[in-house]
Amino acid sequence: MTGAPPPATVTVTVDGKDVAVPPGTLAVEAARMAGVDVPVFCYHPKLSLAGACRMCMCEIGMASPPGQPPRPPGLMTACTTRVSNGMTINTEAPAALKAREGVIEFLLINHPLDCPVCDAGGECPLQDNSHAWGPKEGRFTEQKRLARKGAALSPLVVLDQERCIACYRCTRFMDEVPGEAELAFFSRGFASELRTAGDAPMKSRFQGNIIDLCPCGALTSETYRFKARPQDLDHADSVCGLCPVGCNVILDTRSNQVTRVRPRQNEAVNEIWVCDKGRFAHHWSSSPNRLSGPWVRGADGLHPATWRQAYQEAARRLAAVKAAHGGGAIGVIGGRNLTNEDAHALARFAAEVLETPHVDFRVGAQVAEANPLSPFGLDAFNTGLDAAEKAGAILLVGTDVHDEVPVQWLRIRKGVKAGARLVVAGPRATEADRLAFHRLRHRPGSELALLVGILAALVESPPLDADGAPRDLSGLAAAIGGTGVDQAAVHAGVDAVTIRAAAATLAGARDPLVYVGARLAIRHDAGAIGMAVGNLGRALGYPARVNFLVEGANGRGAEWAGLVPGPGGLPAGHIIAKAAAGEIKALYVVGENLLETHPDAAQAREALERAEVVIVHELFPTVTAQGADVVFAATGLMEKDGTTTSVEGRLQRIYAAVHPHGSDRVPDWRILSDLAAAMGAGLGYSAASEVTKDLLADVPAYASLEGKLPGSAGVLVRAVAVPAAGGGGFLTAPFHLPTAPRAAAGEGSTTTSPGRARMPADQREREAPPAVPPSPAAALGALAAGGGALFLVASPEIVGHETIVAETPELLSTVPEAYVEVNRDDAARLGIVAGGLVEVRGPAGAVTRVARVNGRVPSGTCFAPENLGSPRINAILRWSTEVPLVTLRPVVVEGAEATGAAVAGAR
Amino acid sequence: MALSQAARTRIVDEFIPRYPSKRAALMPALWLAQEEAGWLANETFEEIGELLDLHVTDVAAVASFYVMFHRRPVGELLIEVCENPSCYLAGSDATHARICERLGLPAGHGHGMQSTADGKYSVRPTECLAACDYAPVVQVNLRFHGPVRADDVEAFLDDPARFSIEGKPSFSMVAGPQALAVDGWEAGAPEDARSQGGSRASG
Ligand code: SF4
Ligand code: SF4
Ligand code: FES
Ligand code: FES
Repeated sequence: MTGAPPPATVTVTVDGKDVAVPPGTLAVEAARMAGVDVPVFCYHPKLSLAGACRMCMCEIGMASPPGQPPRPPGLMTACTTRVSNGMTINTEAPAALKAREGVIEFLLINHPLDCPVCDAGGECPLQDNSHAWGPKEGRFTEQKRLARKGAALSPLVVLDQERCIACYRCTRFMDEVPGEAELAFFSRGFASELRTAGDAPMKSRFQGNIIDLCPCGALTSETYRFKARPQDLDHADSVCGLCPVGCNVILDTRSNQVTRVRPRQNEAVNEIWVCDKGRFAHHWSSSPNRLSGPWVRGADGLHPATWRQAYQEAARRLAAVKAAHGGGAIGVIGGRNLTNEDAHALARFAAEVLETPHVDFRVGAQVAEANPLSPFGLDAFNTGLDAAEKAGAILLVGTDVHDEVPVQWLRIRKGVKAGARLVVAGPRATEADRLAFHRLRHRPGSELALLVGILAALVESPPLDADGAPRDLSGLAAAIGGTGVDQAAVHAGVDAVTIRAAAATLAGARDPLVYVGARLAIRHDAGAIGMAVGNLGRALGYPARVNFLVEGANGRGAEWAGLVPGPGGLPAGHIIAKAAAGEIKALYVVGENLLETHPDAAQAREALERAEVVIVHELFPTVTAQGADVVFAATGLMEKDGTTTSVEGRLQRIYAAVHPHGSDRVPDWRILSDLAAAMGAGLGYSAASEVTKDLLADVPAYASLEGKLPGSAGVLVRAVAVPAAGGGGFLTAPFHLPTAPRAAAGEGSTTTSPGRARMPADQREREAPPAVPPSPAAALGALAAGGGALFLVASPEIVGHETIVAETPELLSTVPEAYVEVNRDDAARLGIVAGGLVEVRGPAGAVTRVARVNGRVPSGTCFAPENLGSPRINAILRWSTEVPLVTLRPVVVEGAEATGAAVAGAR
Repeated sequence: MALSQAARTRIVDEFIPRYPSKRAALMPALWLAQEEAGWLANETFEEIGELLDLHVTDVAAVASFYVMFHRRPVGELLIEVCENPSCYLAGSDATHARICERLGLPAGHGHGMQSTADGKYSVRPTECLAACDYAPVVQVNLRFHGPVRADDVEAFLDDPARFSIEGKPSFSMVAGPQALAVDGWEAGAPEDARSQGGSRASG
């Protein structure tokens, strides 16, 4: 009744021991703080409270008000009871023990007790709790309930309904964490069972997590079922090697093969989750399709060779090119999926042995500068991943976070659930749009115009400073050349009202956060976008809360290790273009299937064919490897000791789970060191730890570590010292918006031009890729004349037809058939029906795709995933600064095999 | 099995605003859909899910909780025979068996819902209908009928209306208690409905 502030802690007594805990703590957590583990089934700290199982019963007493007689304690569920001052929690009171015994007896009434054939046996909370708290025997002698066993909820997760104890962890997870409530209990009581609507297979890319959450063997993994017992497994701490989030994982192995991947808790990175790609796509390591040793090209094509032959051959060929044309005639591409040690060795190899500045891990890159925020003295990524949880607003530009950084999407969702307002800018709807507070559906390629629009809106109504006065943004007005919101809005194709509203949301938010997609950091206008994004951070008063994502499991590590163009060096896209033009004579490709990943398959093939020498490091005999002169069989991330650096700049250690002994595969750093020796230079490495030592000494980002590697949680490091908040003025971006957007040509076409902000001519000269084919206006006219020209947006899906995925057939079977997404109006106009086949014709050819007809893409635009289908969509595209235009035509059944000019499919 | 435009409009304009959360409109929406189609198909769940921003699984799971939502087509006449104690003691098991027998369906309570091939009848046992004073009670398309003893079954099937219990109205789940709209009970006469409903509660 007093107005006193609530106490900072309350004191409770757990089994006779006093502990002070924060108010609002759950009794079960208070007990844990006192060192007492209360048994639970349904309770999970990452999920909402259910109180479904009654396993956590404790005898809990409340202090009685002063002057009142003491109240008798009672049985309460510790997982739903919040502490109050003077509370007594007796976890082992006779009544509590009896209640628990009863709960276990009831749970086991209908439990099959098939532990001997249950995957969970040996790591099963139900088993453990039954042993610890259950009665000696049950009294139930009737027929147990019979229900579905071995039922596939999807190709990845298997349900045994008889084992399920109805704790609702799985359903709560699906509903609350990825927000995909595709699993639920149907019917009720005795008849309850887990199902999906219409028994459709679960689609979520996070569903594997329910296997970990299930406290018994009701949910098991299709790929791990009956493969091992937990006590048979060896474990290696590692980091997922499939995207830049860098989820911490444990690799469980048996007989030197990875049998499963489990998340390893790291609250700063992945909490306790992984996505299904990270969990299931590990069979590549033990695949018989792997390269088992090096290959060398002879007169009759590629044939297996010894390592000595391979080194000598590669050394001879590279030396010849170097002697004839200089090191500058060699281009080095790849390295985004290597360890830091490999990347460091590769950077040294390029600089010291090949002596070329043309090094780049960023496939398709059109600009040399790898960090668009460098003019601001910022790293490309400046906050921790966990910052998304506490942000007041989050702006996403040019990224489908669900597919680009999957587990980080879960963190963003968490932030939104905690109140962050999500501003989603993109040319099409993505998963993030479901939670968007503002949707900015801009024209393809017009991200810069959109960002300038947001800046202009901030100039119009500046954020308020701490003293309530509007911030002085006159410098920003000058930096954007006085561009107005309406002008920018026209170019972006977004209405000015929405831009202003989004800007106001960002300006009014505490700790706003900006994520920009990795592709925008390598595109021709990356410099200008970096300027806009940096200015945005400064205008909002949070200069260091702007972040560019990066591609590849170790893209950030590769950037910092120096796998980026040196002085005068060409970015990866230009290296390929120049190789295709015959100016670059040799290509050194590390772990990159360029025919699938370079944005222009024909150009990549041209480059590989035209280059006099092609050396490849690979895991699999990909098409790119098959065109090489020397192929080195490398080990993958699960097979290596070393470090990686995640998108946020976290240096993390990985330990080899699989040892290559007996096979003829070698880690990349060793290939490079040995090849250097064959070329008479020698990097001088004989152990990964030696490279690590050099790496920590040589790479400025790691200087703060003083040579010491971090522990299991990794350590967040920065390449650039983060400036003090608010510091610095605004920088002028090298761009201008054309006075009017180009009008679409062609009759019956509803397409409008993407409002691509143009760089000034001189800049364009320098940055525009050479050998760009026909002028876009001409292409537009030609295509629109056909009646169906649409802008094509392409980006990778989280799980596609990549070689590494293909080695896990269960996962591969969840990948949809290659499709093109078309707006309903365009589909109606072009005679395209949902599910029908469509010929997608671009500047370099045509492919056939299945049509998805919906409202997720606006009229005038279509979307095709980059990593689906054979051939990939890059088979029809040209590497260019323009947004590609394609025409769509329904395919008549006889023509179903018309797949157009294209390279052969996956490897 | 698509929802009619009228139903969609009603869900959006009438049901959703009635509650603080969209999800709360799920029950009347499901009921309305069932009144239209007689049963609930998966596509209907999808449509309702779209209208209420719910995952289709959520919609289907809620529907599965209630036996009064049908996941399969039911006959024109849905005959539900009470199998709880008052009715059982009055011989409802024999009533149920006789109905099944007359309709050419296997008898016995273990069968759940059974329908005749011509789609005319569906029969199933049900829990206490709160009309024990008319035991054995049989519900036909949500209207109370009773007592229907085994010997009455032929007459009952001939003309169920003869066994209809006056003053025991069915209940519109869509309209809610404010507007009981059943034959002879005009919407907007809730006072009446309640007083009559109250007077019949003899047990
Ligand atoms: S399947 Fe497992 S997690 Fe899901 S409710 Fe049953 S016991 Fe709980
Ligand atoms: S989110 Fe990325 S790092 Fe995490 S498990 Fe998935 S692919 Fe691996
Ligand atoms: S753990 Fe407390 S009720 Fe389940
Ligand atoms: S027992 Fe049959 S109506 Fe109550």
